Amino acid sequence: MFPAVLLAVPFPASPAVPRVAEGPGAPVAAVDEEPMTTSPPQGPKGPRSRARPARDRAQLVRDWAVAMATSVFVPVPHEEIERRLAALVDETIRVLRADEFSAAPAVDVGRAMVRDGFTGQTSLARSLELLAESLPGLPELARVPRARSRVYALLGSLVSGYVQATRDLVFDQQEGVKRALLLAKEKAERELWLSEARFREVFGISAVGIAITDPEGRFVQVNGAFLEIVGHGRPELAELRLSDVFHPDDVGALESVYGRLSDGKADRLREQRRLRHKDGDTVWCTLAVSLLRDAEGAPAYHVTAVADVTDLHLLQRELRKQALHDALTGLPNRQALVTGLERMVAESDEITVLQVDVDGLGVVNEGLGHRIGDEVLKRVARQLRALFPDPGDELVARLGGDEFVVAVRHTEGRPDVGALAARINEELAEPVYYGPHGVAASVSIGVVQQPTHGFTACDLLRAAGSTLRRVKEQGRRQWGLFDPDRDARDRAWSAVAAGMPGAWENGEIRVEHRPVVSLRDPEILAVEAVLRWEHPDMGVVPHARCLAMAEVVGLGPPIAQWLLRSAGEQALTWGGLAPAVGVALDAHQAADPDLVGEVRAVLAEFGLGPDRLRLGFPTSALRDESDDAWDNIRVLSGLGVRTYAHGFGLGAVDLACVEDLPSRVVEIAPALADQVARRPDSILARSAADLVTLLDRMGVTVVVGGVASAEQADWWRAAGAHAAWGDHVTARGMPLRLVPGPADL
Amino acid sequence: MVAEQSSWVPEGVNVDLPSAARVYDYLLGGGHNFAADRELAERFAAALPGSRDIARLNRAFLRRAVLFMVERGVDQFLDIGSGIPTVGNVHEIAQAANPDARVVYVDNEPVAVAHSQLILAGNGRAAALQEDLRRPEAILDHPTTRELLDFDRPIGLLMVGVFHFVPDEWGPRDLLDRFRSRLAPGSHLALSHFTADTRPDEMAAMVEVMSRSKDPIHPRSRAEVEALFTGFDLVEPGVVSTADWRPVSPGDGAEGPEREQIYAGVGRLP
Repeated sequence: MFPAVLLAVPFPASPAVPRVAEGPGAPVAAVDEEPMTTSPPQGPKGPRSRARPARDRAQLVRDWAVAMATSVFVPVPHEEIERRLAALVDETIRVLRADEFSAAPAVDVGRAMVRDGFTGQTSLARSLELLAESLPGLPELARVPRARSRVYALLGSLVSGYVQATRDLVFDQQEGVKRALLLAKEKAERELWLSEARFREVFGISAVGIAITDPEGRFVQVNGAFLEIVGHGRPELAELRLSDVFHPDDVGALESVYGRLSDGKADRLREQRRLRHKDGDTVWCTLAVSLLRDAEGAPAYHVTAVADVTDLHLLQRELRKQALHDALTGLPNRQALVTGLERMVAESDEITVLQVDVDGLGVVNEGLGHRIGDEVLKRVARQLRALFPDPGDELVARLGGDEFVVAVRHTEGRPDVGALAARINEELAEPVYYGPHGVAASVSIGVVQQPTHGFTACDLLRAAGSTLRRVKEQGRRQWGLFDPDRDARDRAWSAVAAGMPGAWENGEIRVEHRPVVSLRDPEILAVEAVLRWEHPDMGVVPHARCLAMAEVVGLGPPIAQWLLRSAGEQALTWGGLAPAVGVALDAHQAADPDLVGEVRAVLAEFGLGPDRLRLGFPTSALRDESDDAWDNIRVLSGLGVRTYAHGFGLGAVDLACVEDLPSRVVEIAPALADQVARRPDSILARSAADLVTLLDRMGVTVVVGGVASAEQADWWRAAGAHAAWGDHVTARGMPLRLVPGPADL
Repeated sequence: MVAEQSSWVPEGVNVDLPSAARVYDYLLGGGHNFAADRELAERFAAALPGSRDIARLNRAFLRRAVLFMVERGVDQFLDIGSGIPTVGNVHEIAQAANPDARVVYVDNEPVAVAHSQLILAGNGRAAALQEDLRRPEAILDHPTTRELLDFDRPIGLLMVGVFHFVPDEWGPRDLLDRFRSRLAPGSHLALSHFTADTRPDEMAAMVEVMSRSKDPIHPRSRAEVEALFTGFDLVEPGVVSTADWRPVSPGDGAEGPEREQIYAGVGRLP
């Protein structure tokens, strides 16, 4: 298979290739395992075979080399082995042939064998066998006397040298491996030390408390954070078991946790539990517990990592409190109130809910500052709580702003609602001084009593709120009972209002024009664009209500704009032969800085002269000396647009306004006309008549809104009014002429 | 140095636990061993007659394989499972043939590595590092490896007498793949491996002896050993007994059945 390689093999004779060497003639034998003394090798090397011719020196070297190469791995080329052994054979011959024989130098031959690596288990035995057999017969020793005994003596020295060298070699090697061992140990220890140092560092600086305990719960090692959490010193802990620092109520649960770990039911566990500080305080902790096993797998230690979450726990509690309490007064907030009220409703159907509103808080805030406003609120809260102190049957909460709610469960001997309301106001009426300011609070109260209605908590609060709003319309320091019928109506109107945007879009809301008719001649002096909504359920919704609802649902500005544009469009349609078309602006519109631009846009769009539009400004806006409204009315008048003040009343301020109006036209509020109509003999009616007379004398044109009958029309005409709008027009049934503008209105 | 510690923590140094590296040294006639190693080695030898020759033949194969690679221009070697530095270390063989040859020894046995480092002190072209062959990337990317070996040129990867310590569940072929994937074309793999194809009873006895040591042995068939050369082109004569792999001198062979106990082969990465 490898002829080239085989040919290169420099060692002897025929069957020397190990693989093919077989049979008794082979020079290489596997005799390593056979001690020479008990069973001298036969055959293969045939050393004792007398039939075999004696070896010469070269043959001895070759045979010795094979014996060595096959007894031990010598990491040199075979030629080198032969070269080294040849040197040893030569030295041996030199020693044996010495004139004065001494075996001692052969010690070095034995040493050299070891030096050259012939240290296999059988190396020495096979060497001795070869040498003992071959040396005496070498031609070089033919004339040496007593050669055989010299050989034996020489071999003795050789063995001695070999053994010494082997001892030295083994000592060296042992020393080497021990140095390596030491080095490895040092390295391992250094790494262990580093690892432990890292652990100690982590253990020491950790903000998490760590305790290592044995299976009986004795403390083996703890870090500073743990000591801090439990408040004990190390000497004290040495006397304690882990369970001693558990909170008494959690001992059972925690022991079962450690038990589950020891039983192998879990590797590590996390629990939120309580420990007990040395001084008795409860420490809320997140505990992470794991089990360390020993080399045999038996439970050795528990490692418990403890994070003190007491602060977190308290914070959670505080947050929960904050989430359910009003920060200023400490009272339960709306959310807590709803929850508490739901519970009360579930437990009893005899509950009174009072919504309490502090009157005039805005005045206090603006006049004296929010700090004092807050003091007033705190005081109201304190007094309400003092009046209703029973947490089982009474609940006091702050809804926000100036609104409080008191819920009371009816019990035997409880004062009636009126008495409760009176008590509340009595308590609060006593002024309290904040610096120089003596502030007394008064409240308005909306009351709803539960048994008749079977409301939910939210229903009760809504009902109390709506009652309060109604009550407040009547002034301050009032209280009122929930009126279910009125509430139903209000709710129905709210529902109508909610549907307004859709109705407008669908064209249910239209603009119609009502005539303003002279009270002196059958003439239409002007028309007013008004809203009319034919609601499928509620019938016709009149203009004023439409506007109010539009305001509520946020449609105020677009509807007002639409109305103005419709007026312009109508004026165009009717052309120059019709009277001016009017629009009664609301307060927002009157003060809107964009009003002038909008009016000019409408005039431009329809190509109208400015006097074809009449714009009514609410007297309230002018009365409040709204600069914006005054600016608008003056600018528009300057442009030539007709203006007037509507919603005119009896007040002196209203009269004062008249002086400054650019066009002296006022329209009496329909509400006043209504009151006059109901009680024509009242002081109110008489002063109204005087007012109109006065205005007329001053040259002011008076229009009356909402005149319902011919009688009323007569009354106003008698007083000196010039024109009116209302149902009297149709009631009278007289034919009317259109007065092509510009008329005096 | 932190990276060295990352995931593989070496076993502690404990001379009461015999090490395969020191048992091998003892069987080779070395004195770099401790009582526990010698005791295990004697039991090993009793179970598997001819153990010393098996060790010698394996060591001789290593020498021939290294010289074979040097002749083919390989001048850098990565010796995995290098064991105790004893007679005929790779750097001695390779550097005798080419003084510029570079060698990195890898073993997982701390004493063997420490010993290698002592021997190699002052040799700038050879170094020993402690790693586990289960982490080929940690070996290949080790700073020492990177410093001494150029992976853009052929490397002699020596896996002599080591994969029989790798049970199937470690994925020996995958491990070899991961080494091979980083080698340049022209690299060589020398691998030798215990087999029970011959003398199965004696091998079973030896496996039993070693099963209670920290280095159990898993003999493989010739086909399984050949499969370890996947990706390499086996050079002649393929996977054969150590004694039959290109023998050149009497020391390369043996007469008895022990010559069949370890398979050996060399493959070249195309």
